[in-house]
Parts: sequence; C-alpha cells; structure tokens
Amino acid sequence: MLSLKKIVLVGHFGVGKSSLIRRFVKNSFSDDYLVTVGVHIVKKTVQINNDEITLIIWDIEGKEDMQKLRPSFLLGTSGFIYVFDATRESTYINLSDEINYIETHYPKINLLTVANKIDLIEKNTFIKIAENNKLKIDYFSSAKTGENVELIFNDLAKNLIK
Amino acid sequence: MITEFLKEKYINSKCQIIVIGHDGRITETDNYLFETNKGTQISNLHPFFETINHLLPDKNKEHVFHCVNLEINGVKGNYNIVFFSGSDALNPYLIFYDFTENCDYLQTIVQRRNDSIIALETQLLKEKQHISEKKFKNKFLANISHDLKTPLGAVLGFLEILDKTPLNNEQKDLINTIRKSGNHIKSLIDDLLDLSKIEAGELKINYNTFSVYDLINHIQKIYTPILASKNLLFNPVIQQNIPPFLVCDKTRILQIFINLLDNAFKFTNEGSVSLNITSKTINENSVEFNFSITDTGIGFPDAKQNSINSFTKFHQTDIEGSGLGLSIVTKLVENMNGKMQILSGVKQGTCVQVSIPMQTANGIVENPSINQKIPLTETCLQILIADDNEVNITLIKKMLKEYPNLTIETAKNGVEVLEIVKQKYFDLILMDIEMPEMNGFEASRKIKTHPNPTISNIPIIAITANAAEIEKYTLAGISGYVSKPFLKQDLLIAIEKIFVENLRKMNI
Repeated sequence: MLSLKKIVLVGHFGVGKSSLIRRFVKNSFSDDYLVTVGVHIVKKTVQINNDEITLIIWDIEGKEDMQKLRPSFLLGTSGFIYVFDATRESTYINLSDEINYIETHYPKINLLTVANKIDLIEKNTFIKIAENNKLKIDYFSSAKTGENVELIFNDLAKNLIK
Repeated sequence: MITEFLKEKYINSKCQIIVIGHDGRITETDNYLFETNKGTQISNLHPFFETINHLLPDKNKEHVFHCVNLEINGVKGNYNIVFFSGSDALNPYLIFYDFTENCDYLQTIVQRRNDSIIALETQLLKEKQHISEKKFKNKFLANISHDLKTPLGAVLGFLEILDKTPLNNEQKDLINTIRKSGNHIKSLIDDLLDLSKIEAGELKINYNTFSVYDLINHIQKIYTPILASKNLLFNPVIQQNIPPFLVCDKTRILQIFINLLDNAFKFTNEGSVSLNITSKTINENSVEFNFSITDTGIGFPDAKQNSINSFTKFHQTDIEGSGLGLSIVTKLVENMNGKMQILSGVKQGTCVQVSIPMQTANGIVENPSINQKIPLTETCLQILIADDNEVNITLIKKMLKEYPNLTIETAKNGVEVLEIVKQKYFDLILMDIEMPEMNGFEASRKIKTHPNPTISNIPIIAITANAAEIEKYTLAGISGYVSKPFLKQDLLIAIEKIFVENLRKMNI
C-alpha cells in the first residue's frame, strides 16, 4: 500500500531542523548554518513492513512560538517533529507550553519531540538538565553524526499508518 | 497604453497564473515565471502540490502560502502562492507571486540576527559550563581534602604520641621520615585548597599590621634546621629605613616567603641563599615593599623561566619537586596588586624579585597576641568530644591524657550532642563537622540558639578538614577551629585561646 503523509518540523531557529531533513533525505551534513526563510519542501519514501509511505516533509522557518506559525503551513499535516537544540536553553525552556499548544490545537496529529545536537553536549549532563526542566523528550539526535535521525522519521511514519 | 506597459513590466513579470482541472491537471498557464505544460499533473511539478491536492474537494476556499521555496523545471524561486479550490463557475487556480528578491534580502538580515543570537547563547552556555566545572572542581577538592586530611591527622597525631614513647635511634629516624612525608602531604593538600580558593575568587586578603623584623626573625627560625643540615649560608638583609610596621596580610606574606625560600633551599646544595628587603616610598602613607631571594642553586633554562613567569593556576612548573608553591605565590602577589619576576640560568642560580604595594602602619601596631595563658593543668574542665570517627576520638583523648583535670565525654553525632548538653554542664565542645544524622555545623547552630544560656554559652571548637568554611562556622557561633590534620600543640592552643577570650570578656 502506498500512502502520502505531510510532516512538519517545528521549533526555534538554528536548532537543526533543515540539517535533520538533509541527513534523512540526502544523508549529508554541513556545519554551516543557513537560515530557512519561509518553507522548503522535500519528499522521501520509506518502507514500513509491507507499506510504502511517501513523507512530504515541510521544513519551515524557525519560530520561538508555535502561535506565530503561518496556519497555512500546517494544513493537512499528519505529523509534527518538534526539534530543539540540546545546547541552547532558550530553545527548550518553553517546551512544555509549546507541546501543550500543539496537543490542544492539533489533537489528532502525531507529535515527536527531539533533542538535537546531542553530539555537542555530554549526554548525562543533558539528561540531568532535561530531568530538572521536566522536558518530555522522545529522541536524542545528531544531524551531524546521524544518530537516531533515520529512526525518528521511520518511527513517526509507523505511527502515521497505525 | 502606459498602464499596460507598466503592468507588463512590474506586475506580470512577477506573477504567474495556473488554472487546473478538478483532476489536478493544468488547463491554462501563462508561464511568466516558469515553464509548465497543459495537461501536466500539478503534483508532478513539486512535492508542495502533492500536499494541496487534498484541498481540491473543498470548494470555494482560498488559501495563501507565503514564502514557498520551489524549483520547477529548473527555475528556483520563492513564491507567495494563492490557491483557490474552485467553484461551480470557476476552475481551481494557483497564482504565484515572485518574492525571490525580497526573500534573499530578508534571509541576509535574518541570518545575521540569528547568527549573533546563537553566538551569544553559545558564549553564555560556555560560561555557565565553566562556572559549573569550577564549582565541581572546588567541591571535589574540598571533599578530597577532607577525606585525606582526616586519616592523615590520625597518622601524624599518633606519630606524635609514639614519638614520646621509649624508642631507639633507628626507630626515631623512621618516625621523622614518616612525619616529614606526612607533613609534605599536608602541605600539598593545603596548596591545592589555596589554589582552588584563589581560582574561585574566595581567597580574601586580610589586612593587618605586621612587623617586618618579626617576620624575618620568624623566617630565620624556620630555616635554622635546614641551614644546619645543608651547610648553606642564609643572609637576610633589611634596608635600614624600611618602615618597621606595614599593613598587609601577614599570613599570606609569610606564605609567599616560605614558598619561595623552600624552593631556593631545595634547589641549592652549596653556597648561599640571600634575602634582601627594601622599600620605596610611593607617598606619605604607602610604600612599595620589595624583596628578592637569590640562591646559588641549580637554576633553570630560559624556556622554563618563561613558562614560570607566565604560568597560570594549577600549572605546575616542570621543575621536578617545585610543587604548586610558585603558582600560589604568583596568584597571591597578583591579588595584592604586586609584581613578580624570576631570573635564572642553568647552574647560575635563581633570583626571584617581588614587589607589593603596602600601607605604612604609622606607628599603629596591632594588639600583641594573647600572652595571657591558662595552663590547662590548672583548670578543671568538662569537655565533650563530638566525632563519629572512633580513631579521631581516641587520638584527641590521648593528646589530652596528660591533663587529669580534664573530664572527657563523647558523642557520635549532633543529635547525641544536643541530648548530652541538656543533661550535663560542659565547658567546651570539640565538634567534628562531618557527622551523620546531624552535622557539627547544624548542632552548633542549635546550641548557640538554645534558650538555656548554660547551653548556648558553651564554647565550641570545630575540628575540621575544611578550613575554607570558617566564615560559615563563625556565623553559626563556633568560637574557634582546629584544622585537620592537627598536632597536640594546635589543639591545646585552640583550647587555651577560647578560655583566654572568655576571661577577657569577663574582665578577669
């Protein structure tokens, strides 16, 4: 069975949303940070058991506040990946509020939270920070090393066809 | 005509309209921005269109998508796209407004803004990590110091007791060697703590008046045994017109002298070590206190000399055996706004020059140290020792054994202390700080705030391996402290000091 699902990566600017997509789609990485203005859209087909799922991935410009996102970008979305930068407190300090907002306004949409750039911080140190800040994190990732990147998109795809 | 021309130039060239059928195929296109063909399935142009297909059945709806980056048939652009889902009268259509130029310009501005915010946040994170690492290091050093000093205290204390027993010469030599090694460990631990305090900015310079002549006498006494054993000459020379009393931290000044002289004596096997003290008037109330220590020792090459002159905290020079003393001296001199320079050459000896600005005392001399003493042998005292470590209790008891007039009781923790002092009168509590259930600090605080003055007035001496927290002890009402590892003499002095102070308060 072939299906098509739109997923949107959200989160602050500079957290590595574009890099995660680039790693997932092209298996490449660049240390240079290039701001995303508006939205870039790419697609990749993944195989989940006997099903083929085409993920249309919307890489939208970073926003500190979910409420500031252009609603048209989110039309028809099946899944969100909320990305934050494990090395920058400002990108996760309001994580609970942001997650609450998504869950309230898009209750039927699948959501995963990802702590990216985990290669730049000692993992146990960050786990302690996450515990202290009561952060709900589904995955730790590194677009640079590729850690968990494939897994995040595949797991979201699995959730979308459940 | 002109409006047509302008519309063509400024509007049409920035805009493209594509009309599609309800099946998603292109029925009309003006191809102003990019080439498309009639009959092409719109979703084949770019993945963007695959995600708007589902909007087609919902008639009469208009959606606007801003700043969508598309590459269609080799043409890259950034478009604001209006999508109309169609009605009974109109087919669905898409209008593309080309905002590529604006988006490129916007990107430059946003890039600059985001880069600077990220750089600032990264810097803040680094600073935060640095502070937290420093805190961790200082806490680690304090803990290690405590853990090392406690058993070391027992070793040195029992060694002192053992030394008083009948021993043959060989055994006495062995005891001396063990004592020297123990004292060396103690001084290394103290050095580490000092460096950590300096680095944490916790080292305070306590300004008080000191006599330059007393200082030199004291130094001479310290080095007399070394001079005898190494057959070296030691020539302290004090300039005649130097102010006799100066204001500075005499303990730290002594520490600077000892660290530098220790090295000079260590690396000099023959010849002499000379000490020259001079002063230069800065103004009526202050002088530059200068001294140089010159030895005829092994010296060291330029490279090492440069590394020493520029060394930083915790940097141990690569001169074997030089320890952390030089690092401490540099930092102490810096903290006193002074300067230090080292001149040396292989087999040419070493000269260390130090210059520290100091206030003159103008004849105001600090009260001489307490000379009124109560010999412990003449006073009946009830002493409570609070310590969870049996070895420490035994050590203190043995140290005080020769004073039968002292009645000693013990407690294993702060809770026991509080119970015992309610039942019995005590003249003094020797309180270990690190204890289970209730630590010595907390127990002292409770005693000092006790409503019964018989209890709250009991003097407390802290037995601690963490002398860095003395200010905290003072706030808790602790009258004095003995720093682990300690000798019998240290303990007796601390006890006597407390009672002299009390007598002074009572004007006895």
